[in-house]
Amino acid sequence: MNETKTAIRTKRLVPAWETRLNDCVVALEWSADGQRLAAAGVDGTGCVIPKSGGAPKNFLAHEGMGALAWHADGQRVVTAGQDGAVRCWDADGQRCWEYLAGRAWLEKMAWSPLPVNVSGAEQKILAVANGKIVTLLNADGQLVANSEALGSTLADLCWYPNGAMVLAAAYGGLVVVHGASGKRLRSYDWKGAMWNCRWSPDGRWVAGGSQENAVHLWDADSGAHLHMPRYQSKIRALDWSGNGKWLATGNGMDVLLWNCSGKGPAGTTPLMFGAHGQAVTEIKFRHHGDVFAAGGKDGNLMLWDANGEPEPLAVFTGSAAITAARWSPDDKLLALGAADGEVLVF
Amino acid sequence: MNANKRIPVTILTGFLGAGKTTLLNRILTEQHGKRVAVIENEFGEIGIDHELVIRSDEEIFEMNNGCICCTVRGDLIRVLENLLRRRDKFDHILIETTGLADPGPVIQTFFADEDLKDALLVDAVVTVVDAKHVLQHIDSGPEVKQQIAFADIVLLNKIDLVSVSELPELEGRVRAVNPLARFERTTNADVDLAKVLDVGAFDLDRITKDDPHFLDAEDEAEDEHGHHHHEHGEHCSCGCHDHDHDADGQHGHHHHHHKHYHDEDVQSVGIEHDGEVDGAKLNRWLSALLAAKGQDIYRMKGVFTVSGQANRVVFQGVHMMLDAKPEADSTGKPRKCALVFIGKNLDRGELNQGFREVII
Repeated sequence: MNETKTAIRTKRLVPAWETRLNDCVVALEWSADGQRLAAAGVDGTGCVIPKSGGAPKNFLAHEGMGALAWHADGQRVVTAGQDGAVRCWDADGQRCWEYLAGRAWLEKMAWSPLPVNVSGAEQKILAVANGKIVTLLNADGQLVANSEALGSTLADLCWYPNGAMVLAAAYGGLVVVHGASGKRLRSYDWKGAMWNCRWSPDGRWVAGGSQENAVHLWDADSGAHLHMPRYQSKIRALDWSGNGKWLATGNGMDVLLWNCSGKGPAGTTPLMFGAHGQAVTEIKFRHHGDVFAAGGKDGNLMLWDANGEPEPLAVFTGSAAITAARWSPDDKLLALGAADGEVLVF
Repeated sequence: MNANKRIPVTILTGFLGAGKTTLLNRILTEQHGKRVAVIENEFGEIGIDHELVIRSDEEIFEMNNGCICCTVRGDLIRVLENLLRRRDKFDHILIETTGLADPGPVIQTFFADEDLKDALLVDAVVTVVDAKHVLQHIDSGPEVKQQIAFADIVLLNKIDLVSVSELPELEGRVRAVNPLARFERTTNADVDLAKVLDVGAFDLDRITKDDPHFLDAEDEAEDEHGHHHHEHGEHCSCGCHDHDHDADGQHGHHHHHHKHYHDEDVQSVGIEHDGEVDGAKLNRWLSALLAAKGQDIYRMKGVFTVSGQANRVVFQGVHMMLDAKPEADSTGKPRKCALVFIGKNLDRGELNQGFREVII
């Protein structure tokens, strides 16, 4: 009965266009104006594609790709690789600058959402997880500061949404460093290996997933810690809704949603959305509203409404594990990347 | 992921200065037809330029599943996951641990993490031992004994620095800690790499097939001595019998060709029985044993002949994790049981008593 109902109500997603990289997609990002999509394959290929599809502009960026992001100027693309280099590329795939960070594989980086005051000048800063340290670069690829070694290799990092602080995930918890000086400001301790971290869009919470199958949530100011254990898997996917209300977390084949508004999720039961055949590997909320996309190791993508029925709004059946999902700035397009190199736009 | 296509992983351990890096560089430069990705420890010093070398530092954590000994390495889970995205670039993974590392969490990582279990299979733990200094190091801390105890292959390295007459004594001391391992005597870690890189020590199909010594050497010993092990139940797996702990004083003859060294804390216990066991009782015994002593049991391997089952059951385990399956075809093989435990503070008498109760 339910199945029939689902079959009728659930929309099948059909990609508007698709293209294929040589190897696993490790990063996808829309330009700030939403006109172009940049994608990175683990083999080291970067590419930029117009939003309506068409021939991708490929360039070989690294011997092994880790991360990709649009430059703060919105025109160029920055890549980071397993060769320990950060490189900037123009629209023609020509290298503009390079920063050699060291021996560590570079897998995570992020631009500050707001300009940061560095020696009196306001500028956007790129934070790179560089082994055990956070490396801060300016728009020209010059070193602004390095943090101290933060105990262990950094698994993830993100910026405080309203200012000059970087949150990094490491063994032993989450650490906050200053976005201009790299100075260690505070930490949120947990004796375990953290896998990822996300600051809530309202700045109220910091959340992290750990490898011992638990989600950790701290009140950013007081440091009060909420421990959500007994997940069915390590926490591969973690995302906040744009209004900071929902924290979505991958729990094996399900998505668990914690309502973090009001008094927070302490003592509450999370909502569960489950229909994937294998582990959930990616969760991404729309920039506005409560609809999110969840992708699985089975290659399937589902759209859910956090305020709606426990049935997906729409489904796409793919073949390879979903490694990245990104909504366009206007939320009208959704780009998907998969382990076989497939890039799809809906 | 197809189980047959799991990528083999070699875990390389050894005390500081034993020759790990020499072996590693040999593996990376010699022609052996394998493309090897290396996860190097944070102090590692690989001397050559190699594309797939990643550094990693020990991040040990406890799996939150109520099992106290189930510690795994978070850094490896993260690094291997990144590495597996480039799986077309290599067909073998080598993990170098620090001289002080406990190999237990490294091995358990591959059993505990679902994603890694699907994609990777531990091929062997290879421990490089400095023949010149091992006797000094073996009592200096728990690390050397632990690394020997976990080994499938022991490279007794730097034998050019010790006299030929010292070697049997040295090897005997190391074998006392781990009688299951295969020993290779080397200088400058110069060993046929096929003996190190394609071992299949955790592959149950290969435990009895590739290593007939594991059972058959016992048979020879038995024939020679003409008595049945289960009468006293205890022996060392080198093929001699350990009378020290035996209440049965009948065996007065001494047939030992070399000395035995029974280390007081890390040692092995071998049990053998010509006959069958009760399957249900066996399961109960092993479950209770691993729950109570899993933390102290480093490695175990064995074969059981279970009453009512034509094919013998092969098993191997690390701490509390046990892997078992029937042999494909046990026709013509002796209907017997043989098991070896290697660990810390093992109670020989208690293990034998426990086993006697599952015998039919």
